[in-house]
Amino acid sequence: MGRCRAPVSVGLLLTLAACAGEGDPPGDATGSAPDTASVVLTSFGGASLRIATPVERIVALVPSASETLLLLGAGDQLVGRTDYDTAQVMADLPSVGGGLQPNLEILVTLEPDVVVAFAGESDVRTNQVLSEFGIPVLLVRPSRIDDVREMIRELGLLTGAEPQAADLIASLDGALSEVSAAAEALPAVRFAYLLGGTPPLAAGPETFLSELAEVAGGVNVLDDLGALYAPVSPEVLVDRPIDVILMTEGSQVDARILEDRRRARLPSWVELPGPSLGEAAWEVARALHPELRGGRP
Amino acid sequence: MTRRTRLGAVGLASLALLPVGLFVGSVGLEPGEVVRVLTGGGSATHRDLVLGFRLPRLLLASILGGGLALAGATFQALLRNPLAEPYILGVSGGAAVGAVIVLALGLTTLASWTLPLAAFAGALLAIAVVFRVATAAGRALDVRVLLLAGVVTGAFFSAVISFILAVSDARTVRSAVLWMMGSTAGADWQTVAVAAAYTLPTALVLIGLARPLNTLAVGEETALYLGTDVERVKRIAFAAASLVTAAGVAVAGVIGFVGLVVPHALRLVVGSDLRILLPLCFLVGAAFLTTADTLARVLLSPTEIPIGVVTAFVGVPIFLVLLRRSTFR
Repeated sequence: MGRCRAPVSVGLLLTLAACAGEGDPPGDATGSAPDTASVVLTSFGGASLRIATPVERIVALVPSASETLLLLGAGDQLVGRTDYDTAQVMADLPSVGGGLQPNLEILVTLEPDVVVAFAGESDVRTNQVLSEFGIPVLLVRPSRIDDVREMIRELGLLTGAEPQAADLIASLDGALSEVSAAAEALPAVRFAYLLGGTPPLAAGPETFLSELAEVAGGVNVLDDLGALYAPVSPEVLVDRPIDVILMTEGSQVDARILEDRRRARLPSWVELPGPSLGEAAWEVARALHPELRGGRP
Repeated sequence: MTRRTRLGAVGLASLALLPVGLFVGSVGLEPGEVVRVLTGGGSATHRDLVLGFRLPRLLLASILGGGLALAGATFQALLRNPLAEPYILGVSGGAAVGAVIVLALGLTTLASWTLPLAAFAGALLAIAVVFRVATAAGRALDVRVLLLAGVVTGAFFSAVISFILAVSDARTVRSAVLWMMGSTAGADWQTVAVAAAYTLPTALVLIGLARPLNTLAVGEETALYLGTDVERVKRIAFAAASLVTAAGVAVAGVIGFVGLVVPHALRLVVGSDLRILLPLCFLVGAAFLTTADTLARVLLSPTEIPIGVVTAFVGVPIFLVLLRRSTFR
């Protein structure tokens, strides 16, 4: 896939899971007998898998997928979590560790009917081991807003909550068009979204963070960034005309880049690519246009 | 080509490469504009770019590259081991532990100097532990014990880093990994001053020790018979080379291959007389790292490639070619 050619291993980044694999093994889809009810799902990258329904035990290795499942009312089906799932209702579930390279012993012992995992090359082994154990794996990769819609749709199919999934997508799209309408009358704002570090890691145009800001009337000055997220030369950031620098709270950016520039810090939940993207779009819109502050939720 | 002409060619080529990074970067600037800035003119943005970013970065890369190559050559002579490089005594591991602790506790938001300071403290701690062990084994400083203690201490620090990262959140892991890959992107006049203050005097000390180090490279006993104060030379040289490395790691993270490849490559070209090799190492190391840094900024601009990747991509093939042509001494 030409989309992701990150020169550094951003794969260790949970929210920014690395390059997509084509033709990832879809897990053992043939285990279900033909006479039982089943559902056909599509993993990121297009591979399809058949899973026997109803699905009773789910482990999601992707925090935004867990969040989606909770919102779909499938919280009771979740039998495990990762260390990055912070929702109170999941606190008592056993943790499998990180979402990439999880503890496979714990994961397999939880006897999930299906595991939701990151698509990509960064953790091939987990998918291999799970398919050896006959556990189907639904691969997701919420890099762009469209991927998030797709993930919500597939998770709705998986849990038999298609109407709820459609509602989530509708309310996400509703929020996005509201934000877009609110920003329409306002002047375009040139932005760079920096995730911190030296040289600073920045969001390229094909990321949901950049797309959110574009919906809110922003123009990404790093639209030539090839990778999803990549370290950018400080020189470039000083040279390009930037109206506002968007940063996550707690991230550290070279003071010389921030000098004389408007900057806005966003809460860290904005970086979670799930159904909350609608609210995230409002946060980003307020960061881009101070005049929107105090106006809407 | 005689050795003298080869020496001259390498020296001149290095001098010619040194200023390139001022004129070439991730932002296209006309050479004339750079010259205008350097002579006191130019627009405010261009002055910011050249004097605020490119010049300190060029100086930092020169100081670090020179220091690392010099430290590498010193370690190879002292340990009489061709695999020796500046980080062999666990300096990088100690520095990384300091840096990772600061990142994990979120202390970088307090002040920008907390991370380099913690990295420097970690590096000094590693050096102190390794030296204590090496000198405790007997009154003399045993280089074999030093080498082993360094490798083992480094392994321990790696384990500490893995542990801290295993229990840290994604943002800490991301920052730590980016830091450990090494970069001169944070270079400003303050970091240049710190690096220069530690590196330049110690570099002079090391170059001044070239003659006794020459005799040491033959063997400690021989050196002793030739009237070298072996213990004193060893201690000063180890301390100086470690200090140079520690200061470098503190301001720019771990930058591999310079300390290993540059001294060996030069030895193949100009021979192993340290009186020539050590000063040349500083010059060529400086040119090598500034060139690598320029490539890191330019190749995938606006993205920056980790400088360690460039030093490996450029340094290793050159080194292998040289190695194939010559008999390794």
